[in-house]
Amino acid sequence: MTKINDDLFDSILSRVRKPGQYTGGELNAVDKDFDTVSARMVLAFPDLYEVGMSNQGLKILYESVNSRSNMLMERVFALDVDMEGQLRRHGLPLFTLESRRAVRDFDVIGFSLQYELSYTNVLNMLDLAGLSLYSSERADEDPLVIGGGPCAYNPEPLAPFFDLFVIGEAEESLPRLLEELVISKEKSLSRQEILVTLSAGKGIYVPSLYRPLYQEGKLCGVEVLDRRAPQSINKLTIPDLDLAPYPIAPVIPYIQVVHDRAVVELFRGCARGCRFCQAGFIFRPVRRRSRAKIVELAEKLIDSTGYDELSLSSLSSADYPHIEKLIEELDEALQGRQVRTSLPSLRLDSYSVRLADRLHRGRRSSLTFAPEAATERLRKVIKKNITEEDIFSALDDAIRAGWQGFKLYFMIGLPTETDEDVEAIVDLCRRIRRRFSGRIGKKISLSVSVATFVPKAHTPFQWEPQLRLEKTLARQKLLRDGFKTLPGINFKWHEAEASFLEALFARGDRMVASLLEKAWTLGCRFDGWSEHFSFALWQQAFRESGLRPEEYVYRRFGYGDCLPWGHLHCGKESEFMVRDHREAFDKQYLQGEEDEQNLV
Amino acid sequence: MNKIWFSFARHDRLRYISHLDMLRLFIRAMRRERFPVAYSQGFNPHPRFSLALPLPLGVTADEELGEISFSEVVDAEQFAGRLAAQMPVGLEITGATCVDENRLPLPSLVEAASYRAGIINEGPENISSLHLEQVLNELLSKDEIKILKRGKKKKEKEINIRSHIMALSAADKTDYPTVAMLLRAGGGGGVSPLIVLEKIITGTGINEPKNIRWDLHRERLYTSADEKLETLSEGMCKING
Ligand code: SF4
Repeated sequence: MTKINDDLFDSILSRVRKPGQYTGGELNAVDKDFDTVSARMVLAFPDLYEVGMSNQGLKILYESVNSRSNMLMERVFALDVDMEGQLRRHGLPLFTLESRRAVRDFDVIGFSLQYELSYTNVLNMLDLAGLSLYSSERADEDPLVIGGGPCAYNPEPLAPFFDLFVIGEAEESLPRLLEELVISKEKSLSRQEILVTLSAGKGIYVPSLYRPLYQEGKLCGVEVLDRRAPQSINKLTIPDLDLAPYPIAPVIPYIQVVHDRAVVELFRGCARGCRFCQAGFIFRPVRRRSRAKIVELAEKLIDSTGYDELSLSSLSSADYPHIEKLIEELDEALQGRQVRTSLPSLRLDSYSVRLADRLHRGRRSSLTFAPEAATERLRKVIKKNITEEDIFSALDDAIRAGWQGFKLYFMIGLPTETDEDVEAIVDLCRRIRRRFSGRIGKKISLSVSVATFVPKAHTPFQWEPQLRLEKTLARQKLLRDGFKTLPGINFKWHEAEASFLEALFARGDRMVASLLEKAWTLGCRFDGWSEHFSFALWQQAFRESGLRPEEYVYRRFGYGDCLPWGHLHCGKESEFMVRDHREAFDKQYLQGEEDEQNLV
Repeated sequence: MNKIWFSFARHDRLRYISHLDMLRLFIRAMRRERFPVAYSQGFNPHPRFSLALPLPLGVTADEELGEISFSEVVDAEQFAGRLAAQMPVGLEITGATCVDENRLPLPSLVEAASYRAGIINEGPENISSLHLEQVLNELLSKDEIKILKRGKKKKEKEINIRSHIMALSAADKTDYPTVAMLLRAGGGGGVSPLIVLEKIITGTGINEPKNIRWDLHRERLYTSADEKLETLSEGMCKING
């Protein structure tokens, strides 16, 4: 068993930035005896502590495993580059925060896969842990390396590195998986046999049991290598949010993290069906937490944490039925406790503004809205059903109510988009500026952030290519030039090259894995952080691995084509996806009644 | 309203958190205990809580002070006990006392702080205690010790820190050479112990300063009473009578 001694640890911590991210020992962190529990897992988050500790999923899983007395879950986050240097210099292995024990001493390492640009960090963490990157090269006594989270819905680019993926919501099934692992280990099954056994579980995908088949370089199917493994894998969903485990005493970080507040999830899933939105599809069906349960959780959380902010999270908060009643009940329950409640993910309409207004009373910071596209036509294509009238009346109301800051999110590169649609973003902002004559940039701050569309698996746009990099760059220039004529508006855009990579991994197949390894060998890390991201290194990796990323990023899949994630099912039938995809293009100039029946 | 001063010590891994982290930690602990913390008025109410002097990241301490106002009367002894129960390993509540509400805010009373800094040399070069004493005496004999300070608009400005250094001496601790320092601090002006230590290391002429790290510890906070320095905690006891 490896543990790092205190003196050396102090010496290292005195030489790195934000040492508080490596010390552990936070309030509510577990302190269990490693040797007496029967299953030990590390939850590995492939980004910095400040990002990982803001993730609610991590806290839920931590609770779900640690609430069992015979199981242990500890945490590890990606090491910042200075800390990585220190560990490598001293020949120390990646260690957990709780017991400062080597990650490879555990039974399972579970990676939280939240975004594609953290993949090089995953490889780096495996390497720092002293494990072989490839599943096939790891020994029986090595920990199982598993992954879950949104990116597991197309895990193929990571397939050779992982022993197993959990597809879907794991909070109820993870302890069961660990139990089965313990039983298999007691039977002294080989690693391979253990994996075959586990593969029978719902939502479990063991990539080594499936071989992709290619014809003329194109994926044409998957062969199941062991008859005990299922032909296709269905995602896991928890049936009832009220009964699901929920962290009422989460770990409270000492140091500042991105989101540091009490969180209660109102409902999971979103039925609005915006065609680009992966979260909207993979978290279906919509499941609500009851008002009584929400109030109960909120009270317990505030008691156990001392937080002064409560965030009511969901994908589209204003869709929670009787939300005003809920807010009333929360007000009553938390009266006099100096807790401010926030509702993220608001729609751009007057109803949402009224809600925000009611919550914030005196404190008016800024409101965030995501119209995504600036023309009504394009919003119809992507199924973001708001009108320009909605936008203006929401802003009117908000400004009248005293809000002073607005953030608007748009996307470029959407299917059917033209230069005119992009110029319309600038034009819309110009009209907003004119409407609130002279106040934008002075009394009222307006910031506009423009991302690039990335086609994601299991969405109606999964067949669509990404806009070519040159074109994206040209459209970003259009925007920059346009916003130059609108002083006072703060304009930001996402790095187009980073979105290009994101698309490569979002729609790549198993062939992409070797590129990933190459890029990691060349030193790519923290690709989601602009200060670390180097597209030049990635281009070198493209050349050296011989992989042509354009063939993945710009490929338009046909309905009959085999998709890399085709054997993973997420609930929505493929006929629906095809129909919805077609509809996007049929209806592009039509004004139709919106289908609101599916909403919560 | 009622106001309480409390004292605490910080050790171990809690040294790795910042001043703002400390503020958050205390406030959350008090909120968990449901103390009737008083909040400021206005759009963005803040708890009326402050620490006497920010404790730099990486530094341990014996006797720090905090000040908190409550909207209802809270018994100081009970307060200390309940707050202590909420503290993580590495933070210790050592006392508490009620003070007059109209007393000047605690941070404005701080005038000086004393430190002990163990020099841990992880390189091959040697710094003897004798040599260290020479370096300290040399520094003390100067009229001017200049450092570059980044002022407003990112302009660098040269300032003289000599008058902020009240005392320096070498003390032998068993495992490594140690410097004792008394430095001016607080609103009236002062200097960070880390800057003084940097000057000392430069003075030793050592070739690889990156091999040096500090075991830096703050011992006492001082205020002045009758033209003399007295520790803030003495002040706290006096109130207690
Ligand atoms: S409303 Fe938001 S969460 Fe729901 S589908 Fe649309 S983009 Fe996704």
